[in-house]
Amino acid sequence: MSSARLRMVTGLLAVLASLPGLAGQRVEFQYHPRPNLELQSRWLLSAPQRIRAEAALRNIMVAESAFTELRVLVPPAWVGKRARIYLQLPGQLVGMSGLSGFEAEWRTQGVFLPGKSRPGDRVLFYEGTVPGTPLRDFVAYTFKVDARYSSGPVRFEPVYEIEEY
Amino acid sequence: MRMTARQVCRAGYGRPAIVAMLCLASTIASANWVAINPANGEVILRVNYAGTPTVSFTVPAAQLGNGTPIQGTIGGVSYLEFEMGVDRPGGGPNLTATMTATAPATIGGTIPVSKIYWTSIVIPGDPVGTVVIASNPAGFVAGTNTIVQVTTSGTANFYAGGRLTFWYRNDDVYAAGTYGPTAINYTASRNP
Repeated sequence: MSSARLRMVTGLLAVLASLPGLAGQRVEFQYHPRPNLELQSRWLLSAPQRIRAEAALRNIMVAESAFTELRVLVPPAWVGKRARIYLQLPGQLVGMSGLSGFEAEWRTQGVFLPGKSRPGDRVLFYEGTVPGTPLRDFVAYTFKVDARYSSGPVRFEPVYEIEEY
Repeated sequence: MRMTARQVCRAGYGRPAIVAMLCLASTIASANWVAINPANGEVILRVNYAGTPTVSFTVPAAQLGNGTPIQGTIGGVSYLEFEMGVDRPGGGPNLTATMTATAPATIGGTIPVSKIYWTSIVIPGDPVGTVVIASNPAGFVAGTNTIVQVTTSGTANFYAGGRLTFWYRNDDVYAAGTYGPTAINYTASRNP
């Protein structure tokens, strides 16, 4: 294949990849005004409750955030199109020593969908016509981490993917 | 002119192969996350009694000083259960948890505290792996008494505990009367 032909083919692939409609196009997101949130966990149960509790309950640590602005940076080509955005959590999270022991739950103020996710889950996060970009909403998280499976600070860093429907 | 990855993505339609590569790099380089710091490790001390328990020893006149130990009673029962729990999220440093009792030299200013000792058995239902508090026939010493100590080793939860019965040695004769009460304080602590 000549170098000119090669350039044409790679160019076509690049254009195709930028069009809406392909399944699972990854989109970036930002928290605002700061890009990262840092939360401090507490034990779910009080000390007197914990000492006699089942291990699965005794070891639960909880961290909660205030409502925080989340911006999903949908590419402009998606504006006006009907789209679903999925939140996908990696199977292995930084700070967790296995696949178990982590759950994220979030509330929203109506633009994004509330839900919960565990490592490896892919859950619907937005559905509807994209009114503009970025998509914005305020999200409040509740994280539950099982201390038996934690190996340090845990990082919640989902991937967002957009699909046309 | 230097361009950020985002600028190249917008401006680079004339060189699509490079554009595709740089857009991908820009996406993967996302640096937005929530960091969830673990809760602090904790040591918990639990005694199966609401409030401050009082252990009473009553020596019948006929047994006074005869060397037959007198069992202490606490509100109608003969034991107290002491439990120490250690909760430590993974990834943190190991720690040593210690249960201590701080005792005065005497009970009621007269009877040496060493005349009081305890026996200990496992608390029914305690988790497998619980370190059982040892019996201490030598009795209390004035000052700090180490009741039990646990050092963590990697995992999250550790337990120590025992169902303790207290005894008065009854091997000396003291004048009739009531001695005490005298406080002995139990504490659980951790290091670090």
